[in-house]
Amino acid sequence: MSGDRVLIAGASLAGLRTAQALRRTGFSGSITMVGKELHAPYDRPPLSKEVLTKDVSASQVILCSTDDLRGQGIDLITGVEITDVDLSDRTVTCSDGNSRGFTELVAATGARPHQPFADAPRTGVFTLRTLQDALSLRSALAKAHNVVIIGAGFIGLEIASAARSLGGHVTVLEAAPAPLARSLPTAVARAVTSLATRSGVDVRCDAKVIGFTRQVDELRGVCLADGTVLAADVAVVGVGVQPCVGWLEAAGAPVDRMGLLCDATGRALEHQHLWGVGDACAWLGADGIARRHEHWTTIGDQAKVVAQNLTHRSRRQLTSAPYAWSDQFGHKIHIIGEANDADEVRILSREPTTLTAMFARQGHLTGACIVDQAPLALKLRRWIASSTPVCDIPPWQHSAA
Amino acid sequence: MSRVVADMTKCQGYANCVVTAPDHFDLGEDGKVRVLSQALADDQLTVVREAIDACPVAALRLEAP
Repeated sequence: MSGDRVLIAGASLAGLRTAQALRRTGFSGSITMVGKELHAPYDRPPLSKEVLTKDVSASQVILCSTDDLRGQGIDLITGVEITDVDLSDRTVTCSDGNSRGFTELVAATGARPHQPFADAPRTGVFTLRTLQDALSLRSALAKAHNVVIIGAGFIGLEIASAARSLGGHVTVLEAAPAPLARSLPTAVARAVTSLATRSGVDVRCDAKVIGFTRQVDELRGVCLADGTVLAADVAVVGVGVQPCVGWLEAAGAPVDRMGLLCDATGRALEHQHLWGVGDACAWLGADGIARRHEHWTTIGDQAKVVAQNLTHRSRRQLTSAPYAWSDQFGHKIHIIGEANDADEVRILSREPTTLTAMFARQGHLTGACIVDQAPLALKLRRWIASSTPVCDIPPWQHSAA
Repeated sequence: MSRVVADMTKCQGYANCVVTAPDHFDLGEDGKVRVLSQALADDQLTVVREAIDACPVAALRLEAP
């Protein structure tokens, strides 16, 4: 085993947590992480929150320095991308011209923001994924009067919260009939977005963006399909992400639009020595459905499972419920488990600041969305992780259908 | 023995530590972490380190003996 060489493609949270978990589980071979960005692994959740409004520096979001990694026996190569992989020879070719061999490969290359507007002005239109994106957006928001967010997802609403706290006039545009449609049932999503509307954000659904007005190449406005033009000096496109798996697809790995397809143990389908962690991949659930959870917490859970299975040839699976949070307008929204395949929804409180919504499928609790109320969020995580029957869940019994 | 210490000014009640290491952490009614056993034997360090890493706001830290 000490001759094993794990190569981790990607040096963000997924890569870092996998490397650390490998060492903790007793992996004694070499570990090399190859990352496209120049920074040591850093934390992304603050990028759509305090980094936009406070004087947070790069060093404050770094998760682990290169020296600390070296101390754990983890080599980090930054500013380098894997351009080619040969899965039978088990070698990769990198953008620095080097070839690197591996015995096990972990795909942790993450995702990039989807930007459907090819003709956007050069100045004033942003996406948010990297630290550099956040620092550029911060300096633009500091001077902005009119901010338009395209996409009413969690990241869009967090950016709206930051922009509003800086005093700008903020509009959120959603092409779908309801906000947060990928994550939550409509009634629950509307309660969540009323945190934004109460704070003075203009949230418009069925609002399809068709283009921009500009002066030279600087943004002046956002054009909607119904003819409306909204004045804007900053526009942020937050309409989802695409997994960075082109390098794997060319090598014949099992890739679809959700990313690298992995079984419930984190191993790529039909590939012995390829694993996936994080936003670049979708894992099969117990129900055989592949899901990509772009959650900070899920990444740590996946990393532990993969490290265990890779090192000890075991077949562990995830045991915890998916969990994500979103900080907006002074509140913390907890999103637990699955909401979209529910056949029953119960709402204990519709008041946005105490929102408590629960989702079930075939009589078992599968998901929840609640605002603040940390102790209840923890209970719900436990009930959802163990698929508790709704008849055993007091808040479910006390809520209206 | 190493000790695990919580910074209550940073804790926001995510409870990832409780989910990761339920023998070592709990959540109070105030929604903040409770450290159940500060002093740690060597064989408890791995799970506690996992719990420390699972905190989104780095509210937990390990102090060497």
